[in-house]
Amino acid sequence: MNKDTYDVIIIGGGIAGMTAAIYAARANLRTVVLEREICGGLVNSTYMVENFPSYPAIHGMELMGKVSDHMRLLGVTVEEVTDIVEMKLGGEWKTVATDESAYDARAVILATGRKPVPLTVAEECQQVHYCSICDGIGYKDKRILVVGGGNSGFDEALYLRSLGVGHITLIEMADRFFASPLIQRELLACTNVSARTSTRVKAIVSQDRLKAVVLEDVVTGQIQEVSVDGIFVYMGQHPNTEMLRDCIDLDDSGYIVTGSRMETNISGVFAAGDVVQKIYRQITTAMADGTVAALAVERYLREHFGTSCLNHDDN
Amino acid sequence: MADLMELTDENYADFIARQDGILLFYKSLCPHCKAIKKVMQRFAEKGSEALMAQIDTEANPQAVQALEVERVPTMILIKRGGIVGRKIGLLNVKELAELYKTI
Repeated sequence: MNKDTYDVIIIGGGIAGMTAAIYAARANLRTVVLEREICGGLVNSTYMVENFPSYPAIHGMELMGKVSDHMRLLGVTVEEVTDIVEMKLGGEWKTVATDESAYDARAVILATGRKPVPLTVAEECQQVHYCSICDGIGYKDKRILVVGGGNSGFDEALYLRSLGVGHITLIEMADRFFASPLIQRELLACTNVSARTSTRVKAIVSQDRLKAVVLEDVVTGQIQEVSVDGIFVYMGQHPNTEMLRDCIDLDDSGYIVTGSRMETNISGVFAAGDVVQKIYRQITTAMADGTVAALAVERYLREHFGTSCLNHDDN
Repeated sequence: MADLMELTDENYADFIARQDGILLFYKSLCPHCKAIKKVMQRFAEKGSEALMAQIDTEANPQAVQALEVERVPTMILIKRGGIVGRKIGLLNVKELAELYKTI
């Protein structure tokens, strides 16, 4: 197995990891980004980003493509569609092994992001989806259920409507919707959309394909069967920290606990982005985390190992 | 990394009839499609003799309808002049190699 040495290994190529890579590369650090899929993270699955300063509206994947191009322009090594099989984060040198190579560095930034909370139903169903861009094409003129009343649920419902979906039922388990008022107004003004709060999916009805969902009013307990052809789920996210449980301090929900310099409990290991314990998770806050983490890494390497370790004029 | 051969409604059937390979149905703004494309490219780099091709579902409705593609990414696995399997969603290089070997 190949073994490569870098100044910093960044695990996760979402917006936090890519921003950290840009700052690290500009600080003359040899930087590698390891990404399980492709760079861009959850933003890639956002049809339209409308709160990123400088672009009033831009496709999530297009925006991430621009950030990725910027990062690669600076000479960052990027390994995509690569699975991490082992991490040794203690000690001066940290090692991260993937299915094909191993990487050594004195610093690591964990930017592993989050993954969607799955819909818990008793049976497997091929018509339960988590990506409207990927799976929406089969639902022209059909009836769908969107689960989740946050910005993602409303955004994706609007996108599905633009594909010509026949009818959308949107449900939220809490007693109110959490999406911004602007986007709520836009979706709820549509004639082929119905939405309800305090509602959850109790069961699905399927025979080869999905036929209907059984919805339950969580306040009254009232049950109703609604015919749908597909379900799109946006119930929030869980942190990707399974591999870190035994070595990194996590909070009760599994998020990484960091200090003001994005440092973790292990010397030389930093964290950034949605995987970190914090209140607000936005593209811009992830970028801020990535920025701070990379600057802190540069300082950590300089203070602990001297400037000579950062002298890469041969690059 | 070599790009995948781009097919259309006009020539996809010919590809299936003549080549052992993998045909990816994709959408341009689908991140999972981009990831699978990289997996296919890496599979090819590792010496697979399967020819790798892709077809844009938004520009080629006849192929989508004929092969009953409802989701992307969908990979159509082709051997001996016909379709021998399909795989919807993500998998890694090792899993793809195993899948293609066993069908």
